[in-house]
Amino acid sequence: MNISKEDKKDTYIIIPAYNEETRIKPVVTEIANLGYNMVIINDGSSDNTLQILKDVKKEFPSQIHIYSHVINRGVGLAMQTGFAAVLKYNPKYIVNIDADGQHDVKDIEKVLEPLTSGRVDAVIGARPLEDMPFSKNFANTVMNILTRIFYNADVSDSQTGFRALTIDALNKIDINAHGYLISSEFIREIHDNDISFEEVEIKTIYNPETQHKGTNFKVGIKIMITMMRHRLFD
Amino acid sequence: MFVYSYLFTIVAILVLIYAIIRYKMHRISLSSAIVLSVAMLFMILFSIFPDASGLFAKLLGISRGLDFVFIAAIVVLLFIIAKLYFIIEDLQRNLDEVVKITALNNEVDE
Repeated sequence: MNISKEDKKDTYIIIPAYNEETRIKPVVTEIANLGYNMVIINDGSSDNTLQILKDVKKEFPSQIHIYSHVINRGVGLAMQTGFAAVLKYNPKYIVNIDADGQHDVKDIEKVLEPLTSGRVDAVIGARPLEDMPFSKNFANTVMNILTRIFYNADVSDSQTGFRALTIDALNKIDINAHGYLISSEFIREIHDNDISFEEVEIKTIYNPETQHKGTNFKVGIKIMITMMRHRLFD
Repeated sequence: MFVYSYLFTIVAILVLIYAIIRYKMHRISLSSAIVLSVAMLFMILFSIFPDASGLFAKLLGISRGLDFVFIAAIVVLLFIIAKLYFIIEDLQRNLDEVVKITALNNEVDE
């Protein structure tokens, strides 16, 4: 599976980053070396993330675009900023990947292929549930069920941070989530706007640092309440 | 009259004056000023004439005047909590918009 140089030029990778000083440099460098463009949103990090991003940008000035939130507002708003910023560069394809290195950047080709071949307009990079540690597996199973109940969307990994879509699909969706609800909201928007989509299996790299991030019990409850509110009042 | 009657009446009058001043200074809306004033007038009424709560209780089918006061207080508090929740939600949304627009207008160059 090979993505043409032309398609790579038309692809922008959105990376939301919050306090990722120890993990973000290899992720961004590897993506830049593969020839993709990036829009990176520093979500009010209190560590050295922004300075590290500025340093990497010096090596790849034309490929990296950095935007910075003055305060931390959550991954949902970072993605909203990313989606708005990326429109400035007239992309054809937009990919979203986590900054913490839990995704294999080589999988970018895998999620792009259904878009560049014209098969679908959106792709969800699904992590196999059996590869996850028990706590993550359980939380994701519950979130998948809730996404099915409240958003009528049936997917195998509703909480993935690895997704891709065409510019046409991006222009149709409307994301308003603050935090991790973005994952389920993205799936709801794809579903409600009848955007053709495909799930692609991706590799997930779990380590002690990345394990504690993502949807935990407290976040899960918040997401559930917001989903209920959307279902009842929107 | 008991001590609490004087105390509650003084507090209610102070809050009433505060609400009127805040409204005149355009710091609170007319609806908030009216709600606060009506609540304080009821507080003054029930403090000076405790038996008056019995009348309202009977009207609503509640057995005791004191029960009516408690139920009314809980309803008012729930209303205030809901209102505060919606105000916070609006503020969060406005804050998000400011943070997003500031970031979009200031691409980091160096």
